[in-house]
Amino acid sequence: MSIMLGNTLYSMTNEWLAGRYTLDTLIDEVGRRGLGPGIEVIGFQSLRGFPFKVSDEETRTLMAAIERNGLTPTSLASNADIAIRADDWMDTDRSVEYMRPQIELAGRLGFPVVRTQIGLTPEVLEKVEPIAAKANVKLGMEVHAPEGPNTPKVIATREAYARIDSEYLGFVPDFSSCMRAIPVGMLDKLRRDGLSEAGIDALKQAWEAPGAPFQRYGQFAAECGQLGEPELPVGFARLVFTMFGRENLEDWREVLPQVVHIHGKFYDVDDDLTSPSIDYEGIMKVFSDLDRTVSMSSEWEGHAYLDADEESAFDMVAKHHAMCSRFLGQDNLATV
Amino acid sequence: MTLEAQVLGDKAVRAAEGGYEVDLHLAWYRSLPLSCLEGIDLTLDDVRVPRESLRVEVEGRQLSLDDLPELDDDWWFVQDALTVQVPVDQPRAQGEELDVDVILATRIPYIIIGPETALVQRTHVAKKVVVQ
Repeated sequence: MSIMLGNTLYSMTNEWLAGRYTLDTLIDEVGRRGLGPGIEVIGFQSLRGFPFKVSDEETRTLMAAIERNGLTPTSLASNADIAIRADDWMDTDRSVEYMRPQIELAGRLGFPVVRTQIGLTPEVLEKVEPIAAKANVKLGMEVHAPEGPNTPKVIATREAYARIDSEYLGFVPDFSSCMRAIPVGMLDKLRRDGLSEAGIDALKQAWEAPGAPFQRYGQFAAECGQLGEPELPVGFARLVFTMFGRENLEDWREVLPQVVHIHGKFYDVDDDLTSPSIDYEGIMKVFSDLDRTVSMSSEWEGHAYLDADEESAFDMVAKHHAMCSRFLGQDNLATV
Repeated sequence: MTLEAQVLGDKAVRAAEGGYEVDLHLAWYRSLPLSCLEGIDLTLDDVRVPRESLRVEVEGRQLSLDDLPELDDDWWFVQDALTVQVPVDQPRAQGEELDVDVILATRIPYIIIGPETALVQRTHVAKKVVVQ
């Protein structure tokens, strides 16, 4: 039926890491530029002491900033840090206790969704579901490149969801799963690092070839060995195969009823309001078939290869909103 | 790459008693516990600093890298610098240039790339800085 636009502070990673903003000045800038109404926060990025020792002062700062800017909390992004101890990985019970404060904090702060990641096993999901239900928070597993709605790990989660059968378990589609081209900015970065045009062509061919991402990367790396390409960009190019997926965008239809939030992942928006690397027209058409209102964070990830001085994340998110509005049309845009 | 650029700022090295203090920043988008800091390979003016001589400052304590694997609830907040104390016999004076080469290795505890294997992100930065 409709999409509520918004932003994740992850888009502003460069600006945040450079120390240009505090939590409240960053949210003020998002509000001032009208990049809401939805706002998503990554706990481990934005909140000191997350997940066990977030101070009351920190949460008051966050909530006051959200409120004075008229924003709507959409998703608190969690992580399942199972390898936090190199010699002693978390078992199911420790994973549950690690997720608990993340979910409970989301509930206290009024975030309706906790973004989870594919690392949560069916056993952990089964045990955290009651925590989510009690906190009245939905767990949205992010489906992100190189996964897609029909890749084996996601299928396993869909099967676990069918078994547990709870309205508190859902998905967060991330459009990195279904890209149509490698972003030009990434190719330029690799050129700057010394990859030749022959290397760029080999990369494009390997990315477009069928097969598992790591196999395709292996083929590319082997070809670069023959071409005599420098090590640095060839190593960095591994990201191309994990960050940029090639699943079919129509596959999202299969999980539409379980979508609890959306990551409007993007890298580039042209002046004519299209994205060369992701077919937003096609994707927005699929998500226009939602039978309810769902929030979507604009999630700019160009900071993976661009510095803050090269591109403003705020400007990119504004363009992304304009592009999505164009493809969705007024009837499919929700306001608060 | 932008995350590399964060690791070592232009004013990251200060003269200190018996050597330098070096401020490092994470090369990742989010905070990590110190248990995930696997290594700091530091070379100053082409001389490798022995790993065991490095000390990191954690809430007023001076810890060696071998103390860190236990610290899974001491967090390196992503906006903060981690100060590393580096003993050097004949450090350069304030205002002089110093060649710094650092490889920061952090385990990313939720990116599992194989059986019992988490991603270890190694970020290499080499630059000249002026000692503060």
